[in-house]
Amino acid sequence: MLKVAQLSKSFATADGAQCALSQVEFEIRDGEFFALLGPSGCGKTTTLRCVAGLERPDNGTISIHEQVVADAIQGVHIPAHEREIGMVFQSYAIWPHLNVFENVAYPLRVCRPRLNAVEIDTRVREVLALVSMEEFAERASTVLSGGQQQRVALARALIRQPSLLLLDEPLSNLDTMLRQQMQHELSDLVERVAITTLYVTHDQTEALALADRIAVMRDGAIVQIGTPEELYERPQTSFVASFLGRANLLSGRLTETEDTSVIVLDNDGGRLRLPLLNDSVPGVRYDVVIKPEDVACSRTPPGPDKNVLVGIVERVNFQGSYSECHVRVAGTTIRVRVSSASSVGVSERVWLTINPERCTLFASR
Amino acid sequence: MKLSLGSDLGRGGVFVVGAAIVTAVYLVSAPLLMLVVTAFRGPHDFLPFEPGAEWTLEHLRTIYYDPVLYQVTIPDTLTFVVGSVVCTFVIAFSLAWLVERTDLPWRNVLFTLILFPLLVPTIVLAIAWIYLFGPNAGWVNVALRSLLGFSGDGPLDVFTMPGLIACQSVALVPFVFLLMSATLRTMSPALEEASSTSGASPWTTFRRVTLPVLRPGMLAPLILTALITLEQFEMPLLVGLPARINVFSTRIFYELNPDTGLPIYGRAAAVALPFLVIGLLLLCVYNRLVREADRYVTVTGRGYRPRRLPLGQWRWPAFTAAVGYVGVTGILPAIVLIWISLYGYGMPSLDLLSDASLEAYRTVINDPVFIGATLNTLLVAGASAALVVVLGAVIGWVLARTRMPGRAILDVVSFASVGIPSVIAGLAAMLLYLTLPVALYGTVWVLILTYSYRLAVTTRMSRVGLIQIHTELEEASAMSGGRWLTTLRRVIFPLLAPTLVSGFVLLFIIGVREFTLAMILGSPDNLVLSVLLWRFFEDGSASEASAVASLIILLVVPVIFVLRRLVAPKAEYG
Ligand SMILES: Nc1ncnc2c1ncn2[C@@H]1O[C@H](COP(=O)(O)OP(=O)(O)OP(=O)(O)O)[C@@H](O)[C@H]1O
Ligand SMILES: [Mg+2]
Repeated sequence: MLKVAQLSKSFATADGAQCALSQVEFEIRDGEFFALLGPSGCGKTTTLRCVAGLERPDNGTISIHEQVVADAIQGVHIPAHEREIGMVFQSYAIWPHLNVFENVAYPLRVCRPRLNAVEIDTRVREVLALVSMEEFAERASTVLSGGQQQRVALARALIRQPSLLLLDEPLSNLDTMLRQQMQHELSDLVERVAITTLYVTHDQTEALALADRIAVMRDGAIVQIGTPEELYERPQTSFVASFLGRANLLSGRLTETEDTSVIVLDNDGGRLRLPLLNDSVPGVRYDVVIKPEDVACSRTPPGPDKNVLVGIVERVNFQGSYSECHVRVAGTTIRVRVSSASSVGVSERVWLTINPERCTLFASR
Repeated sequence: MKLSLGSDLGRGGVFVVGAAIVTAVYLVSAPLLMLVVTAFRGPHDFLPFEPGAEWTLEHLRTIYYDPVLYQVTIPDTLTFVVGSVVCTFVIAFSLAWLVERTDLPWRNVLFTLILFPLLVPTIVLAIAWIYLFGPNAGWVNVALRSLLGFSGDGPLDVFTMPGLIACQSVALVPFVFLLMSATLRTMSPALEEASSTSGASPWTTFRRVTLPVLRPGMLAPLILTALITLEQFEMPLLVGLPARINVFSTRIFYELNPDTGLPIYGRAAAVALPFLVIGLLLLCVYNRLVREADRYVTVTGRGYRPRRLPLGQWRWPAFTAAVGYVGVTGILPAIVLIWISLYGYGMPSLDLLSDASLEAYRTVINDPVFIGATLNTLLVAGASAALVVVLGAVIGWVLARTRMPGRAILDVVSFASVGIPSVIAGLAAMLLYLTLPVALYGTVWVLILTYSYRLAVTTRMSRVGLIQIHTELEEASAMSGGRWLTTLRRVIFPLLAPTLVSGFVLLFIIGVREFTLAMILGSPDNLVLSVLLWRFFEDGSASEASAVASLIILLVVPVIFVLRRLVAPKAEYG
């Protein structure tokens, strides 16, 4: 239902034009929950704002339900207020001069043809009930908590029953507990109203948990699009792999190929023995991606025949049931998970065992 | 939301924005263009576009070959401006420093009292001081003579250059004091504390840290004060002319109201030209300084409380000096006006106390001219304030939120009004509306349009206000289906309300105080209170003049309190 093709956009800044988007393409199907995922500054918000009509693309087309709403070459630009899209802003943008009811009623009050007061009242109360805010209708909007503001923003975005809902990092302003809860409520809600949703986030767990499909972005371009499983299991680049799994990225050079491939890690970091690659060429540089949970950590040297790296513990982050250790191996830091009971300490020497089955290799550029 | 084309605004939005821009550009530049043209049109008894008028350098020759310009007008203006600026600055800085940075007793009360004359038209202050310091019958002089056993006139004479400078300075102190105290309040105390912990005495710290650190922040207000002094008209007219001091503003007035014959507009325009250039140059310097001062870090975030300097044994002498100043400049003028309105123009004494008479008030209030002037004052001040607030908000929005081509020009035009002396604005408007084939000249509408050239204040205020309002609040309205005009009415204006109301109050006060424009463009049909007051004074009706002056004060004060109450509750989320 939403189709974005060849979208490009650059901004004029003090030191020349800065390219924010180049050739972004994706398509969202009816009723789908689609996430744009990427690190800060990669152009997610800019993409969303182009879809919303708040920003004019330099190039490319955007169409909703087969209707072209933006086409830079043809000069088509349907202004934001005529696109019938619901949007929740990162700051929520709740108007401080209106109370909760009036904030939510606003889209109905400004639409044509005018609705009568009774109808507005019923619909506002309906949608407030949907986000469990009905008893707050008369509350001043300046005294709402973060979670309540978010619900009001959602209610306001949904009240016109738009066919597309845009969400820009709606959970990033909330504390951890509330984020979990709102994440569940959000996915319930979107399912119940069955609305096509474009969701922007830099948090991979959020994207993995919520989305039907995810587009991973980097430096203004889309790197890979797929279902969470596809991206997690079959990443096409080391960037996607490391970004999605918060995985470790080791670089090295392929040396010998007999029955196994051996990667000599940079800075004398050690060697990794991996299953034979199909079309490997000795001398080529590779990135090895390995998730923290796939690295075993011990305080004594494990037996031979294993991929073992030796390092010094730099930092231990207590996470509850487990701790995340940052282990310095030669020039790089590898994150590993250890059980909290193991009481690994800072500055201690540890041996890391890497399971070759769990490593993913990418030829580095 | 940086828009480049009209489709985001919609047809109505384009119309509103376009109309605002056209009106703003017209209000500021059309009169000035007419002024420049007039300086080059003659012969001298013709209006610039009357049939028979033609291009000429006659006026420029008459004015610039005349030694009077170089021997009287320019030196007098220079002495007047430099003297007043220096005095104003020394007084305002001392008071601001005492109130903001020391443990002066009663500083909050003093703060309010120092600011009080800001509300009163300068013409009222001028008249009060003439009644107090007139060489012959001025109260203070009579008292001093009987105290010291002198006879004849004096010993003080307000009708001299020092007298003029003193009056002008005292009139400007409240405004400059306000600027200074803001700067002093936001100066980071850490800089001074660092000096104290290095072993410097308070006086050394003041000399070697406080003053140098403040210099960039003080230079901009200094230039602004010079600009404002340059355009002053009331004091030079009432105090300067009797002393045969002829600054440029009174010179222009004189060209328009010669002792004999008809006004020669071309000459007035020719006198105005160089001063217009000086005003705009000063404005450029001011703008630069403001930008540089912003870069100079004297301000830290909030959350600190400037440490106050203990005055020690100087505490009470400083307090006495401050109270003395407030007494002479604020309270004594009020007393003299009220006394004269009740008892007539004579020395006050206890024996007279029971002879109070409301006759002057009765005369004034029953005079239909007074009623008309009151209504005109309220109408002109209110309507021009409203017009300028709306224009300023729309233009401030265009400047803050769009990348419209030509923004820079709009910025310059809206800000230029600060650099245009009001005498010149009045003269230029006069020429424009005498020439235009619409019967506006001499009506209140001319006053409303001319008062409204002061766009800079509200444009600046709206822009600052908008910067503090997250753009997403506006974009959320567009995403809700609101057209730009709807957003303007339902989101932008309500959110800006505190700013808009304070802008309105400020301009309303400026409008009520206005004398120069009303005087130059005056006619029997558009008389306002300040001009009426001047007429009573000129006719020698001291009681009536004092009664009108007291009534003006009575009119302004409650308006301010009512409006302030309207602003206060809404200021929370501003
Ligand atoms: N109005 C603008 N003017 C200039 N540059 C801009 C503007 N808006 C965005 N950019 C630039 O475009 C790039 C992409 O910005 P965008 O806001 O889309 O990133 P993002 O992926 O949403 O990041 P975040 O996760 O931090 O919100 C950034 O480098 C940003 O600096
Ligand atoms: Mg963003």
